[in-house]
Formats: sequence, C-alpha cells, structure tokens
Amino acid sequence: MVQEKSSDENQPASVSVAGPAPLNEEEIQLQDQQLRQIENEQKKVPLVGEKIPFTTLLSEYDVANAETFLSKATELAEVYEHMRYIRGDGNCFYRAVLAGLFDIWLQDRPRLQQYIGIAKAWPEELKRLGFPDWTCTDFCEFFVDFLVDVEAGAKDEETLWEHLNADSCANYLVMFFRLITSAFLKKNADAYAPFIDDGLTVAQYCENEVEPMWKDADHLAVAGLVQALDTRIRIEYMDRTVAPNGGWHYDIPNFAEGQGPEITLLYRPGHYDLIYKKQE
Amino acid sequence: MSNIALNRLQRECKEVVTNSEISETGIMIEILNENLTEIKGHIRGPPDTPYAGGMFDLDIKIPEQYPFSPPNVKFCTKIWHPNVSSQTGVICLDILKDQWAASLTLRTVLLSIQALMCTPEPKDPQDAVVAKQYMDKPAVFKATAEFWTVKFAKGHLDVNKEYQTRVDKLKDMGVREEEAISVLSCNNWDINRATVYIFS
Repeated sequence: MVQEKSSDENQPASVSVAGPAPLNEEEIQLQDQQLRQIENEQKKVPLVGEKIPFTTLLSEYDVANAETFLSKATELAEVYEHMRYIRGDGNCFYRAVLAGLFDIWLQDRPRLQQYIGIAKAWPEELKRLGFPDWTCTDFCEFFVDFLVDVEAGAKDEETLWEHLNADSCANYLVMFFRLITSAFLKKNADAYAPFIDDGLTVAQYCENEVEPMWKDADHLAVAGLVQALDTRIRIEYMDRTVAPNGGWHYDIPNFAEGQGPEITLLYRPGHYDLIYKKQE
Repeated sequence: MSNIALNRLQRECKEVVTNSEISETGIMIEILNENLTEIKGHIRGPPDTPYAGGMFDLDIKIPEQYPFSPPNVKFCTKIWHPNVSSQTGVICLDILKDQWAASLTLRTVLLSIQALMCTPEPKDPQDAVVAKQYMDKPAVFKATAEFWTVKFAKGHLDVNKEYQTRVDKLKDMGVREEEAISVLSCNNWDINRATVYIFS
C-alpha cells in the first residue's frame, strides 16, 4: 500500500487551491438567507400585474433624482396608455411576452388558432434537435393544452389571468418559451454563433443562459423567442445607450413600417414590463 | 407542490426504477414519503475508481419549486472526493446549482453524480483539502478514498492495514473512529500531525 515520502511532511495542514474557495457551512447559510430575502422582495410584486394607467410610471421618478427617466417616461406617456408590471425574477422577458400574447389570444381567435399550430409543431422539432424526450415534450403538451382550453372557452378570462399568476401553471408556460427559444437558437446555430462570447457554442450558451429558469434573457434570447413564436415585438428603452441599435426603440424582427408590433415591452436596465399603446 | 409536478416526479421515479436495474446502471432510488419530497438515492461505486465495490447513499429533497429549482442532493455516506464535502456530504456540481434545467430528471442527476465520481473536478472543489491531496499526492488520495469506501460504503476490499493501525492508535487515545479517519485523511495520514490537530 501507499507509503508517502515527501518533503513537506512538516507543512501545516491548511491548504489553498486554485479557483474560488468553497464556502463553509456558515457562508452557505448566509447566502441562502440573502437569497430568501431577495425572493421575498420579489414576491411582493405579482408575476403579472393588473393593467394600470401608463402614467403610474411617472410616479416612480422625480425631477431631482431621475430627470432623464422622468422626461422619457413623460414622452412615452403620449403614446402608451396602459402597462402591466412584471415580477423581476429573471423570467420577466418571457413572462411579459406571455402576458402580451394572452391579450391577443383572448381577443383574436384566428390568431390564437395560429399560435396553437405553432405550438403543436415544436415537440417534434425539440426531439429532432436532441432535447431530453419526455420532460421537454411535457412542457409542450402543457402549453398546447392550455391554449386549447382558452380556445374552447373552458375557463373565463378572470380564471385565465389567475393561472398566469399562479407559479405552478405560469412557470410551465414560461418553461415552454425557454425551450423553444433554445431550440430556435440551436436550430440556427450558424447564424447565432458569432454573437456568443467566451468561446461557448450555441448549445452551451443555451444550456447555461436560456434553459435554466430564473436567468435573464439577453438580446439573443429575445431574438430567439420572438422568431420561435413568429410574432413581432417592439422594445421601448428608457435608456437608449443600452439599446442594440442605439435608438429609443428596437423592433424584432425588423418588420415593415405599417405592420405594427403585436406586443410592446418597456425595458429599464435589467427588467422588462408590458406596455400598451393608445388606440388610434 | 402542484399536481403536475407530482405526476412528473412519479414518472421520474419510475424511470429510475424500471429503466435502470441497479446491476446495469448502478443507480437506484427509494421513495421515503408519499408526496415524494424525500427520496433516498443509491449509487454503486463505479468500477476502476477508488469507490469501486462501495454503495453510496444520498439524501434527495425535492423543493417546492420543483422542477424549476434543482433537487437538493447530498451524500449521506461519507466519501473522500474533491467535489464532495468530507464533513457534510454537500456536492459541488453545476447542474445541482445554476446549471439546473427543468428538462433534467432524478435519473440524469444520479448519473451525473456517478460520472463525477469517475472524473473529479479538483479545480472546482467542494472540499479544498481533498482537492489539494488529489492534485499533489494522487497515490495518497487513491488509498484514502479506498479506505473511506471500505469503512463507510460497505466496500468489500481489504482494509488498508497500515491506515487502520493509525486509526486504532488514535482510537486508543479516546478519539472516535470517524473523527480519527477524517483527521488522518486531512493530514495525509501523518499520525503526529493528526494527534497535534486533535489535542491542541
């Protein structure tokens, strides 16, 4: 058996290794506690808020501290009439799109049927792209069943909004969005590979950033979901230095003038909310 | 937990039990309560590793947010591995933390832990002392991990007599066996240093 003869026999037992030091029990507990605090803060906001006047946004800013944001919000209030706050739990982009589509599904039956068609096509595509079989298709089935229920009028509008605010149901719908976002990007990997840093492949990027719940969507995820759903969205920026085109708003995909977006989101650093235009 | 999550979990449990005889894959689960929030996992020590011949038990707790948050998994059998705390059994594995995806299952989790047993990642350690030994003194690491397998994981290899003698010496001084093994392992089996560590 092993008899170790080494010169550092009298070195102290304490060691240091490369990489971040693992956390001790106390640090892990502290970290858990902090995470719980953040979680509790988040939970004060519903997953998807009520439709409220857009001008509510103005009350968040005052001239002294946030003059630019206030003037931008005032400007936007000329064009937008309502908004819904979305909980900032890392799913806000996906959830804002979901809530936006919800309004469309409830009002536009032919469009709802198109969405059912789109959703039904995804399970096969996921399998083809090598996603784990039944756990992924479960989310697809859940999503399709949900839309079919909406179409059949099986649940009244109020109940549907309640579902959208219930973790168990809403997160399954969000997960479907994450999966098809990932699938769209993987399917078009050649086109998206140049936009990914750190030497990651498109598949690795999706597994790190898109598929895990609670991870914020970046521009790639935004583009992926919009195209996977075959919708059109506009994002209004409170701070245009963070817009990909340096403008005040950004349309995905680049749709023609006259063909408006289906959904409009308001982006403030790190967060998306849903906004509604004034009727013309 | 919602009904839909419970249904899925039932299916996941079946997947482990039926798809994978322990003789074939080396993984197994036992359900401990009706609502499936507490599960015991078993992993057979992979062949050609210091864990071969051992049977390792894991505590699996299913969180309220499952499957959107990962199951809480830790070893309850003591194991000497760079990515597992030798004290608490906590595992450092990306899919149990921020790389968890709702498409993963208990089966993939157990298979990933089994793979980690075959291929430690000392650069991303959970237990710095073990990781340091793994990199600097691979032979001592191997012998120590084997010793732990025999002592704690019902391994059927012969026990390393030399190590056992040192453990017995500390036991004679009134030290509990488990503590003796742990301290000796952390001190590369140097009995003098281990004694100083315990009694000073």
